[in-house]
Amino acid sequence: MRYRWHTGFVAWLIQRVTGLLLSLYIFLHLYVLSHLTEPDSYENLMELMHKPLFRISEVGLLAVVLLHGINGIRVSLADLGLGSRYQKVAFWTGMFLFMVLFIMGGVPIIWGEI
Amino acid sequence: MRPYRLKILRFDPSKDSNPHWQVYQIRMGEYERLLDGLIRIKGEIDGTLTFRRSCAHGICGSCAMKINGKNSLACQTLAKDLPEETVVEPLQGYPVIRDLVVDMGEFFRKNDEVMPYLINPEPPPDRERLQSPEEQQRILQSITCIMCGSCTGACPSYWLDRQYLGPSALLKAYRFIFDSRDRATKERLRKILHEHGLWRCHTIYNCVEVCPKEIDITYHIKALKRLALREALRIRQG
Repeated sequence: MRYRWHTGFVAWLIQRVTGLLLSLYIFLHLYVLSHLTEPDSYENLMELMHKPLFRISEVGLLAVVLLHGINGIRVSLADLGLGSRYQKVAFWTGMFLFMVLFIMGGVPIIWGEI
Repeated sequence: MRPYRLKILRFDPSKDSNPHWQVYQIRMGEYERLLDGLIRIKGEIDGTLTFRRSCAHGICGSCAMKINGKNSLACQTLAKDLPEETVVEPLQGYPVIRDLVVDMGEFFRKNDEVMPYLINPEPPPDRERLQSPEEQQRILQSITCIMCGSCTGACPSYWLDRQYLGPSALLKAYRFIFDSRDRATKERLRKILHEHGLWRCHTIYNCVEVCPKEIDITYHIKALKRLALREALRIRQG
């Protein structure tokens, strides 16, 4: 059963996958935070976070958050009855916004002194 | 006239255990429709090819089928917009009866579920029940639905939940709920507010992409959702 992938379908897939990833991430996040009881362990963790693998993961997290958030705004606008006719334009505008914010946020994470 | 290779998915339950592809080579003028091509195949090449068509002018909705991976009307698809190798399959989302003919029974049953008729217990006036142009405008798009079934068959929510009412039945519910002459809003809302109803719409827009009448179905479903929400809040507040 093959069917053409329309823009709205792709947007919905992105929303579903990023939603799932964020749900999993929040548990991971809480698990890590719950182990931060000593100042030493905080320092150790921060050191770990500066390793390349974690920096790349952080960039991935940024992408997931941005995609989910931006597309969420598009769906919310449609929920309010605004711009339903322009859902495709809204999607591509959102993707442009995503690229801009992703580069603005991703570059300092990878190469910055954070 | 240009040559086309029409690759058609065929299935005859009395002979075949599985559907199979058959390729037909025909020539079509750029302003002929795909339906013209199918009629020519049936008349001149292979009389066993089976498909539905009635009006051939985009009003009856009989010739809905999946053309190059998208639910469309064969009578509204011009040859000039088709690639030379064109794939024709039965309408996605429905059980196949034979070749391009699908079983629409369940589709029409769901349509009946939303009570697709005017309900108004008030005694009728001497002439017709009047409506202002603004009131008419509100339901104008939804009235143009020809019930071809393209939208419901293209809906991913429906692919995963065959009990889902689908965009077509919900649009029909909108058409009567937002009709100023109708008085059965509560009853109709009850018919669409269940596990396989209104909230199964996930704003995918596949229905809007395929609608041959270019109805913004998702917009109408959203209006129903807002109404359902308002009603629910009102009931809660007492």
